[in-house]
Amino acid sequence: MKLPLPKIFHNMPTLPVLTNLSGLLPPSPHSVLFCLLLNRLLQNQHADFSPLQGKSLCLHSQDIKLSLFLGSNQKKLIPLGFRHDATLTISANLRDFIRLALRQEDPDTLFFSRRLSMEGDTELGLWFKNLLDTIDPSQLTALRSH
Amino acid sequence: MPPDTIPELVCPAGSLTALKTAVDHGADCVYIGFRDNTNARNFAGLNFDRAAAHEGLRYAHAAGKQVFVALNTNPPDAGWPRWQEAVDLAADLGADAVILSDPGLMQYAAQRHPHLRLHLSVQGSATNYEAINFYRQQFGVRRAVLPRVLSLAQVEHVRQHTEVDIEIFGFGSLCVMVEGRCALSSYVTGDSPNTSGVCSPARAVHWKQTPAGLESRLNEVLIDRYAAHENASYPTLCKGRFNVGEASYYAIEEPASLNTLELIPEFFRIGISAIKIEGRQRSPAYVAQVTRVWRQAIDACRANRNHYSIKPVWMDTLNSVAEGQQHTLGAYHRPWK
Repeated sequence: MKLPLPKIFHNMPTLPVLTNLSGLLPPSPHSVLFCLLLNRLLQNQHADFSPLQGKSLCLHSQDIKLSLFLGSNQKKLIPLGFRHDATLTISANLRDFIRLALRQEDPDTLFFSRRLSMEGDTELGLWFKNLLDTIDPSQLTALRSH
Repeated sequence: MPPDTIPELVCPAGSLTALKTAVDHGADCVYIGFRDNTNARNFAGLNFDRAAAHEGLRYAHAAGKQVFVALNTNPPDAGWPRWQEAVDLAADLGADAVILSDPGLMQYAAQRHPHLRLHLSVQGSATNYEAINFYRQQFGVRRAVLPRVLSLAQVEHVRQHTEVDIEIFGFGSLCVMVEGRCALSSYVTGDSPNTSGVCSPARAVHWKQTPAGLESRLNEVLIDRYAAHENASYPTLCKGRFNVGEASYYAIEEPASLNTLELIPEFFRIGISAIKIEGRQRSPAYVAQVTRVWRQAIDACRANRNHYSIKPVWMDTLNSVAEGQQHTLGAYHRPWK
């Protein structure tokens, strides 16, 4: 026999509402983890982080309403707290971000088909894209095996 | 009739990862640039420093593949040492060829590094065999990359009248194709491919979502406004939509990609030495997808030229990464020529 739900649960948020709520959470834990991961992947690349110094980069996942905020010092990427005025915001759905990370999709391809958008400092976006492209595939493989 | 030439597949790389990807997916040659305005893809964070170029050459040579270095912008008087040093670096690293457009730089390379193979860049804008033969006589140029303005019949005519190897573009984004002679972007940004290695410097590009659509602006000049369902393009002046009289349309050129898979048997017959893929600004994912398709297509043609046919999956893959709403044979297909 199926019991009726108590009244209090009748207005329980559906999944889209829950994902909207996650936009209110402090982004820092995600940003911290993301920075740790990227810094590890980039550690042998002799990367120049100066283009991001004093600026902020927001990666925004449109479907799950999650934003990561990154900055940099001279040596590495650093996580930033939420900010309205990121120097550059790159937006896409989570699935496409994952396809980018796995090197299954080219960002220009996503951009042409309007699945990825970029607002703000375009040059910073190019720098970031090219920074990620320096990561050797063997690094990604090593990471997977961990 | 001379025997078939099997064209080399020349693929782009803007990073060491892209170079390795190209080699792994079947490129015969990879072309790269250094991290400055000595090449026509001068973008932040793109291209090779000495260490990356050294490793790239090691990787390619270990696989029996070649690496060409593009030094195809015009050195200003004040910047001459940088271009000279770039030629020296390419020679020092053991590059298989340098791709040059400036005659002064060719002379320097030919005199200073007589064993360094010279290719005439598409930016050299040589569209007839007299010009190409001139470069051969003067500087010993061994290969010329033809601008994308010639019909296939014209390409064949050039090919028949020169001993210089002919390389043609097979795939990639198109612009208005007055290569080496285009200063269109200078009117808006002060920069052009010849002087700065970019036609739309990223610092001048701004994208903004507005109620009317996604706007692309170049130095605040509105280039295009895309409705939600429309594909976006690179924000270059030549691919913008403009108000002309009462109408708003692509007044110069509609964004499109060159795709010449169907011409491969003709390239074999004509004796084209190499087919070039555009896109050093693209990521390793693009390089992998496009290189794989072109390797398979060239190999299929080599195996049986008379029964060569394009596999739908090749077209699907190439269309999926292409700029613009359409692909085209460009100037190669001019039946009235």
